[in-house]
Amino acid sequence: MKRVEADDEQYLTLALRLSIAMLRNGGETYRAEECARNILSSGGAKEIEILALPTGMTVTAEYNGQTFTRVRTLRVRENNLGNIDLLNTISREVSAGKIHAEQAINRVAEIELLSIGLLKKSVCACISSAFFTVIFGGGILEFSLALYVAFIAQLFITLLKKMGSLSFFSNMGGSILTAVLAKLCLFMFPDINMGVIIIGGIMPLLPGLATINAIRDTLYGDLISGAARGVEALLSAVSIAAGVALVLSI
Amino acid sequence: MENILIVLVSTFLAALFFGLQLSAPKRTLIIAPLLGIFGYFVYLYTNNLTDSEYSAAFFGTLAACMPAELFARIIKTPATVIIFISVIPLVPGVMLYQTMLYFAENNFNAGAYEITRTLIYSGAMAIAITISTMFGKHLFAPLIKLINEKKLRNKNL
Repeated sequence: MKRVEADDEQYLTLALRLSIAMLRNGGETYRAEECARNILSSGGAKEIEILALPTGMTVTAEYNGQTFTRVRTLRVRENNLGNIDLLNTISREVSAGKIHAEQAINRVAEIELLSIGLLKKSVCACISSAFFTVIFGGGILEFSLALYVAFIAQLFITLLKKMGSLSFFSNMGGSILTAVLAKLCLFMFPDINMGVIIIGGIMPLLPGLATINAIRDTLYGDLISGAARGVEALLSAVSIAAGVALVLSI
Repeated sequence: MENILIVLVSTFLAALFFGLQLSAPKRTLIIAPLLGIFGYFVYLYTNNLTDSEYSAAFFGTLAACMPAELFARIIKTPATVIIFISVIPLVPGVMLYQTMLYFAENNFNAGAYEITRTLIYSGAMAIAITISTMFGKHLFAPLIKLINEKKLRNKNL
């Protein structure tokens, strides 16, 4: 039996790791498949078949008459637009022959470790929430209250996610905390508009990316991914809304 | 007039920090919030003109997404990276909150009305995203490819 050259193995590893990283950071399914296909064909593989799903992917390629298959599953997902862009750039460079597979694997490994800092994420999200309250008619008092409500809620959500809880659960916890803190603000300042603070707080949590990806996946023919992501979006919207309703009804 | 200026500036800043929170690439951080402003402005204008928030949501989302598809292909980044940021001011957070408020008050008639509104509004946004994705896939992508090939040919000559 002929031994596989180390180079072929590397292209397979690269294709699988890059596409899985793409799916984990919230990339579309067809993009993950396309990246893997481009990388493998630039590595000289024949008979490439790729099946990507939101929960894992399979890559099959033929090298020198031998067929190799690799599978990897995926459980945790997060939204990181910067990583999607970096992975997309690496895939383009490998397909154009600008960088070698080994270099690319090292860069993917670096990106896998890259996550958004806890403090940076919370600060940016709370400023964003505060400006959303202004859009929906909040004044200067609501703005400053939303700043601190959203900061605590985002810190809580990020901590829950770091502990490895499901995104539905952490989103629900975040929306409950947002509503509780907004109610506390109402006790301290009775003439504020509590609604805009809660709306500002839940805006960054709403499943925008999942919805957009569900639509795009369905249009590109990945019906299973589209349906799965649609359900994900619906469930997280319902969990956020239920969290708010729970507190408001008290 | 002053009021709408404040709203538009807040839209820009809200979208900008929303992008920063998701560590969006730096080269998208100006164009995506600007498209967010454009989309929200079209939403407000259409809402004023036709008095129908569903068509306003449709045209607003279209205005935010269609240029995003084109720009994404020019600066070579996945289109979702821009769309996600530019569409965020139009997400129906207010309606969702109103729905939950009515349900929490046991006012099921008003709650059912409000949730139907939210669903139709989201549906209008989804149709707009669908249309702009189709344009991106079948019109902008081949167009950019054609231009790039022409550039390459000119360079070789």
